[in-house]
Amino acid sequence: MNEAPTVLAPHWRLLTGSRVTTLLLLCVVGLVTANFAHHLPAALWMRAALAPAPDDLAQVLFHFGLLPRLAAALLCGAMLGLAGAIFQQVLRNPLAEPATVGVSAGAYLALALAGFFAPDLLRWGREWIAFAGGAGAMGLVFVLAAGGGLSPLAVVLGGLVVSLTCGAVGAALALFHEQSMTALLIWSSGSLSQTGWSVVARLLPALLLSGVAAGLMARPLRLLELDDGFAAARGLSPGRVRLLLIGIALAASTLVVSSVGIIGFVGLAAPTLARLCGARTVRARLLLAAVIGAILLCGVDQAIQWFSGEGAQVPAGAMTAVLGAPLLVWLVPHARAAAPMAPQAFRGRGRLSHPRRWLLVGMLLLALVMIVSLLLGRGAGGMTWSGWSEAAALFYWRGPRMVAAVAGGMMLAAAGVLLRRLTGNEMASPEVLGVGAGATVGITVLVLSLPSYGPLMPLAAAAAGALASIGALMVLARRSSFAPYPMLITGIALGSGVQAIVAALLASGDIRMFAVLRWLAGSTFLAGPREAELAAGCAAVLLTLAFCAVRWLDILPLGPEASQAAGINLRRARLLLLLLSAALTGSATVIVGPMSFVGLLAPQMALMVGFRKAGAHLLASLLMGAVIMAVADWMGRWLLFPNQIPAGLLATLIGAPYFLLLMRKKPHHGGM
Amino acid sequence: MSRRGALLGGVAAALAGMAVPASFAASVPARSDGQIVTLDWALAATLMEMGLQPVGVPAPRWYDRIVVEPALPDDVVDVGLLFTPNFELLQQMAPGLILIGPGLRSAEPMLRRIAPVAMFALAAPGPKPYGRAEEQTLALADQLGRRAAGERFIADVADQLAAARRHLAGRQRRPLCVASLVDDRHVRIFGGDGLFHDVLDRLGLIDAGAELVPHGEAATLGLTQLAGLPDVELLCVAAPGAAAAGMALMESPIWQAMPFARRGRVSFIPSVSTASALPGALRFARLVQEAFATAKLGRSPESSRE
Repeated sequence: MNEAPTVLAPHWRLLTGSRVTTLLLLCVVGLVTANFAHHLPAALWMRAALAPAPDDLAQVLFHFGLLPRLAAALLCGAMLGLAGAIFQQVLRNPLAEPATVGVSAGAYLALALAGFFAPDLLRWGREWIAFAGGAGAMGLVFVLAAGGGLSPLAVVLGGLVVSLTCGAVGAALALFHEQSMTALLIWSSGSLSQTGWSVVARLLPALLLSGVAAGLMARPLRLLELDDGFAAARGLSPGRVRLLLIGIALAASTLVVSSVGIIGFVGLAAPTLARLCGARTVRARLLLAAVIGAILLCGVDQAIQWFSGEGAQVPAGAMTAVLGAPLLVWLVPHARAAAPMAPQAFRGRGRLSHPRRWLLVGMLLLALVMIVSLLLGRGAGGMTWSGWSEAAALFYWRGPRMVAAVAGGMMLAAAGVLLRRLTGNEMASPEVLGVGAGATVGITVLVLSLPSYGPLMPLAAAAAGALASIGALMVLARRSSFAPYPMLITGIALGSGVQAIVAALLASGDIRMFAVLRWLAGSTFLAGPREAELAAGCAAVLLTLAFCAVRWLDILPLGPEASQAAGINLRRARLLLLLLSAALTGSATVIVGPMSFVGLLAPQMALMVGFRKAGAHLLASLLMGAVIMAVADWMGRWLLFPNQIPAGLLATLIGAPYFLLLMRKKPHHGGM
Repeated sequence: MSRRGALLGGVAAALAGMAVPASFAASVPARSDGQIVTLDWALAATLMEMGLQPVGVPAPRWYDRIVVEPALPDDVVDVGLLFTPNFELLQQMAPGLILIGPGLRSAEPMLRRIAPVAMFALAAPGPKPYGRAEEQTLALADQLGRRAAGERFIADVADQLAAARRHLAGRQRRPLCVASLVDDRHVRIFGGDGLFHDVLDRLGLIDAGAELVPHGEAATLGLTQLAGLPDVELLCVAAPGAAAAGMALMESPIWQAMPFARRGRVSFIPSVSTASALPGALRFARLVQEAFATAKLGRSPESSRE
């Protein structure tokens, strides 16, 4: 079961191996030669590399620009590949990489905080700040997951939530400092441009150290791969070995993040390719992942330099994500899941004894929040209890956005329940499936292509984008009969590709992009009566359909055999549920943006509290989603008055700590 | 099945009920006490140049750091973020008129409940921003019934630019490149579709940045890409929050190898926003003139050789 999670279809094994790697390598060498020759005649290369003439700008650029950039790309790629391979190996999760276990987001947040509140710190040591942030985020993940003996699932789930929280805080900061965030955005999309050898001088010893350390740990890692009990019998503490290895990967990946920014996908793609190349032993896999990572990143960066010429360059981080996404999608059908990802379900502490009573409490809570939200607001004179008399405030400024937020929260939560039960996967949520990402593209295209637009246009644009990504997801997932694992990978690939494009656009510094940013953060402030009505209507129809599917939701998680025994047409049921959750996500994303993560948090929280049967689970998740969004919308109105905090963002900040608390308090039980 | 049927039926009934228009019709009557809220910085600045004071502006502290002048009145109310004004606060303020830029058009129906709304694209992206700023300033003056003040302001800006041009005419004309230091590896180059380019044009100066970035207001480039520039003067506009990173950039060997750095042809001016229309054009022209006056710019080649 612990063998690498992707196993090759036989015909594929013949195609890859060293041949693909060699081909890539040749391309990269060709590109590098071409780029170098473009800047400096070959005869001068040696001289410029060793001792550039100080008054010859071309030689200086070659020595302090081109060469360090090449070296930085190779080093960063190798470190990311190595870190990704370690993360995947240790966490036994093919989706683990620096970005998915919270490291990148933690580093990002630390740098953002330092940049906004203590810019002088950045000059003193950007690397250390990022390292502290990444280590802090991962440390938090580990503290949270420690209850479960650092089990792979707990770590990745915790990592996801921690990075979502970091991302939300970072986005809030960006919104309130909208004019001075270009640097941060460039950094968040990973540029490899260099102005000297200092970055390389920092990276090289780090790579050597982490490489040697990882090599030494390869044997214990192999033992762990067999069985925790077996390793323990050989005198190894599985927890300690994992911690050490993760420490190595953490150091490598935060150093990359702090030196050149967030570069996604290399840490995911390189180990995957290494496995596809047929690397059998752990040591070979680590080595090959590092080499492939270096080749990949270097190739991407050289291609960027070659194609962009003198103009503005696409940041490497954005490019790797854009290129990596289709690569991953393409690889998925060739690799089938060796073991279903479901067995380690994360189920909380058994059943609630009085689910109905608690559901009633939830409803009362929601009603209370909604009433307070309507009546309590903040104006120029401080907090005021408006009573029922201020019709305009109730019906225009507070009511519609509250209704929209509640509807959005409910739909996201329902989509989360559907997807989780459909795929039997903890991580399945609308945010992860990349549907929100599609809507993001729609909005971005709208803002960039039209100088100004009416109130319903963003709605239409986001819906079109969401539909397109749902379509892409369906087409791609059809090839694997809507099996859970390939679908998740496809969704994640779509999502990160899109995110990278948006990050690169934001980094272009176009002031219009801040309107996109506002929507990304899930601002409900533009919801009027018409939007609220639309949201409520969508929610009513789609949620009813969801309740009609409760029987499927109860049976599907039991497995395909049980479902077929119960007379369910598996393919049809999956397709319908997928469509329904896509529609739910699409409409919710238009309202509360793609960043609220209520779809991940609410269903998980409902399970952890103890709502196990599908009907109760769905209802409890809806209530949780609704309460979180309503509170977020209400607090967003007055917390930083007169500035408003987008509800989607605040929902993450409200939901995540509670989620983490639950996770800490109730260590999960392995097995179903 | 019957439960499902009942559920679906219920929703259908509810939807039918919702189709009844939910018009609460509480539109606020427009007041005419003349108080104006501007939800865009360029509008606020232009308004003040025409002798009117806005009562509310988004993020005034950022205005002070980025647009700088004309200075906002001390008692101006902070009405929220640049793209998310606070409706409840606006309603409490009960202004007579709300002025918005194109970025907030989607909020227009909401704002109309508070006061009449007028939209002007004083600083929208696109080529020739100076000419469009003049047009829109005039349209704004018309809307406010201050045609004369608007014409006077436009003429005043044109006069001051012309005076600056005469003043600079005697100088040696090396191309100028306007940039902002972004971090320790990147610079933002202001391009051919930006306000700065139009102002340099009117000052009779050659804009080398427009050759590097012909389209768009600005582009972020790696420092190495500035190697393509001819013999230029680099004019660095201060960007709030990037001072420390800028210092690191200037310490790098590549920066120090650049012709403009080696010959000391770099000068720094305080923050000025490309998105602040004619008031911004005026401020930029004055800052350029000051940079020349302190003899940092336009020195003859002989005197600046090391």
